[in-house]
Amino acid sequence: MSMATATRIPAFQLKAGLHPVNQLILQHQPLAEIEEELQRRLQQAPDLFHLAPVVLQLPDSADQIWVEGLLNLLRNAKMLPIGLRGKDNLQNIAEAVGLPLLKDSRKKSKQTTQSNIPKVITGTIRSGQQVVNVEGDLIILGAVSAGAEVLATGSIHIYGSLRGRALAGIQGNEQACVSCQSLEAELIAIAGHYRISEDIAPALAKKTCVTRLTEGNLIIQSV
Amino acid sequence: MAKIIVVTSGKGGVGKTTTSAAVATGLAVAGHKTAVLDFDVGLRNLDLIMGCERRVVYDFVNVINGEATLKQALIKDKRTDNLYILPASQTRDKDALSKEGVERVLNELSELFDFIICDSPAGIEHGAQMALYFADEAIVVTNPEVSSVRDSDRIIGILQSKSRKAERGEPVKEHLLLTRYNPSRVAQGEMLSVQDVEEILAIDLLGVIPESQSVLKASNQGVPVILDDESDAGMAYSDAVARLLGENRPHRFLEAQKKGFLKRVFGG
Ligand SMILES: Nc1ncnc2c1ncn2[C@@H]1O[C@H](COP(=O)(O)OP(=O)(O)OP(=O)(O)O)[C@@H](O)[C@H]1O
Ligand SMILES: [Mg+2]
Repeated sequence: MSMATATRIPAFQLKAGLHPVNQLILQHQPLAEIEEELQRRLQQAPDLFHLAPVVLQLPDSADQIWVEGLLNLLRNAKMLPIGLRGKDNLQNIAEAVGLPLLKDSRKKSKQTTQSNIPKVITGTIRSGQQVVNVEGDLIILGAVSAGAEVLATGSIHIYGSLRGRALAGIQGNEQACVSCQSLEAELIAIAGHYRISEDIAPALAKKTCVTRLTEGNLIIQSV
Repeated sequence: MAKIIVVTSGKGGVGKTTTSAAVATGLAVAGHKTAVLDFDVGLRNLDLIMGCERRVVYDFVNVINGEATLKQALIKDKRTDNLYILPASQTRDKDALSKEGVERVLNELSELFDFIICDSPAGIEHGAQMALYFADEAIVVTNPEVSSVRDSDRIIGILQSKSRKAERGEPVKEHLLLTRYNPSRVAQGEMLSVQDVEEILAIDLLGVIPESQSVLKASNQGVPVILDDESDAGMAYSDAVARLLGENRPHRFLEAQKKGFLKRVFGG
């Protein structure tokens, strides 16, 4: 038996995929109005929806009759609805019309896509001062003095000398980077991986540099 | 309304009191009514450098506490017209300087003077913060060495965040005064150069005062060194005061003295 299973070629393979699909975001309007709008768009661009897969973002108040009418209307226009999106209470409708109710990825997207609200500071950050952006990138139009510290959940860009400490990706974003016009740093860190000045090659001193995290290693490159 | 200028540094012993005495004297000589205030409560020494220590009756803290009027405590300088000294107390500590008290004294002085020079104590604690809090401008005294530059940077940060002007969203005008500058040691790489310090601190250079024997001599005699117009330090302070008053003067004493012919031949 074990031999048999080991040598059998599987009938199919299952592979996760991510394909961009257009979404139709719908209000609970009379179907006639939707049809009118659809015709107007098709006249402007006849091929726009031809055999195009679409996901329908349904309003909370959608009911089964309205959804069935909507699907007919779209299929007549040669669109291929492949799924529904909306509140959990639309599950029954989804089953009735034979389409999956796709999970709202909003919760997940909070973890994967970092929102970035950059913070721009003009002037030198002096010894003893600390500047933090917990919402994204930090851009310093000036120098960061020895004894000063700049921190960001995103990347840090310093249009001046970095003589103090710069810590990017402080909530674990390993894509963050640190750039500066002249590298004289006391410490550079990305997502908790750090280098102190002693560990920075002397050849990089006072060079314009970018620091990135590559496979768990901080790589400092002059540009 | 007087212009209030704090002389500050963070680090101790870099030349704040020497500078306060020189600048205040220079401004007075130029015809401006000037008061110089010693904020270094507990370590009185501005009066020594100004040569008026034997005439101290009341001090800054007495005025703050209402134990003496400002007129009683201000000492008129003997040599220079337009110049008054408000000495510090030797018997109190710096906590005696309340913000309200300092403000009251400065307001009263503002009515009477063109310039008020505040000689700050070292450090970044209460005394130093009181000295700089009400300042319109700051002379940041720095020696050409790493620790002094670092402390100056720190004090500039405090000026930019904790002074009254900063709280109102207005800038404090900062001037860099590099003191005890020794060009031959700079040339040998033992000290930071003017350019190094300017680059790190990124504020306007008011002047460079050379390391000079004349400073110690002057302070031993209780005569501000700016009055010694033979000395390099005295001349450099005169230039700095002129620049403070808006004059454009080239910087001097930045290069090492060339060795004389005999010294070059025979070494030394
Ligand atoms: N340009 C100079 N050349 C030589 N010696 C100097 C110079 N400037 C200051 N000094 C000397 O340095 C010492 C400290 O000077 P000063 O008292 O002015 O410093 P300070 O910053 O006020 O010190 P503190 O922090 O203790 O108040 C004194 O002995 C003074 O004579
Ligand atoms: Mg002093």
